[in-house]
Amino acid sequence: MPTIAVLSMKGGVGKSTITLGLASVAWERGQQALIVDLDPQANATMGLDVLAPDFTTNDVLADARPGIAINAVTGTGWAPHIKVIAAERALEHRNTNEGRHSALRLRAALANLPRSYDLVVIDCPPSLGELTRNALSAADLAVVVTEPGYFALHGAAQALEAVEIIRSTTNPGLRTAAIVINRARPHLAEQQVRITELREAYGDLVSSSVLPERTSVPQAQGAGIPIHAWHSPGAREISDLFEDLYDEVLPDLKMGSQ
Amino acid sequence: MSETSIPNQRPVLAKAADAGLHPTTPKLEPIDDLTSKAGSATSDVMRAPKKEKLVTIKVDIPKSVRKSLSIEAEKRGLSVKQLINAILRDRTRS
Repeated sequence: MPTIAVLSMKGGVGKSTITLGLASVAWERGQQALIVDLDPQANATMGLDVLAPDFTTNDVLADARPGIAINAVTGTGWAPHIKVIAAERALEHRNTNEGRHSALRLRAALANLPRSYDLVVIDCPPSLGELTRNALSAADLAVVVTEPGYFALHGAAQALEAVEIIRSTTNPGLRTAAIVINRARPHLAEQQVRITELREAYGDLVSSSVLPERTSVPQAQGAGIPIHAWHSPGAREISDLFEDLYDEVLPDLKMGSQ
Repeated sequence: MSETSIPNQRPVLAKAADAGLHPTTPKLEPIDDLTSKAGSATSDVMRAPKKEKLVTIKVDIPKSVRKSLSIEAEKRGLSVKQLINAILRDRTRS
C-alpha cells in the first residue's frame, strides 16, 4: 500500500487538485483510497464532499498513539471505497514542533492501517513546516506540484530539498515520484520557457502529464464529485491526464498489472 | 447468562483540546512566578506587579476533566494549578 505526499511550498498551485485527481482515478477504477488531509484549509476534505466529521487530522496528531488514525477515518460523498481523514482549521495548531518525535506523529498514527487500502494520499499545506514534515516522514512517495511560473518553480525546488532532508533524517525510504506541472497555459511563451527550464533541471522527474487550466476542475470540486464524474470535454481531458499521472506514479496499481 | 467482552477494542480518540480554538488565538501563558527576586534596591519600574493574596477553593470535578487538564497542562508546559489559574483568569476577565 503506497503512501503518497502531495506537496509544494507555494500555495495555490493545485496540491489539493492533484490529490483529488489521484483520488478520482481510484474512484473510477474501484480501488480503495484513503485521503489524509493535512492542510488546515481543508480543501481536499471539501472536494470529497465530507460534512462535519467526528475527528480530524488535528485530533490524530494531538493524540499520535500508534494506529490511532483508523478511528478518524470517515466516509466521503464520492463512494464507499474512497475514505478520508478530514482536516479542520484548528490543524494549524499542530504545525509547530511538539517535542521529541514530533515529525513522526502521523507515521505512528497511520501504523497498521487495513491492508484493504490500495493507496494513501496525503494532501500537504502550502508550507514546509511541521505538518509537511509529518507527511513526508509518513510517505513512500512525494509528488511535487508546481505551476509553470517563476515563483512556483522556486517553491518546487524548495519542496524537493525538503524531500531530501527528510530522506536523510527520518525517512530513508522516501523518494520523489514526480514533479507535476499544473494550471499550464502552453500558448504563453513565458510558461513554455519555465516548462523547458524545469525539464532541463529535473529531466524525467517532470511528469509527462502537464495539466492545463480547465474550468471543469473547480466546477467538479465545487460540486463535490470526482473529475471523472464531471461530463465535459475539459473534464475528460483532465481525467485522462490524471490516469496517466496515476500510472506513472503508481505503476503497480495500473489496470491489468496485478 | 455470561458476560460478553468486546475483543480488540480500539483505543479511543478524543477531540484535541484546542480543536475549538481559532489558530490565531493566543496560547495561555503561565501565571506569574509567585516568588519575586527583586530586592530593596530594585526600582519599582523593574518590580513585578504586586501579587494578589491567594485563596484556596475546593471544587469537585469529574476524573475525565482532571485527566484532560493534566494532558493539556503537559502540552503547554504548565502545572495543572497554573493551567486552571490561567483558564479561570482569562474566563473571568473576558
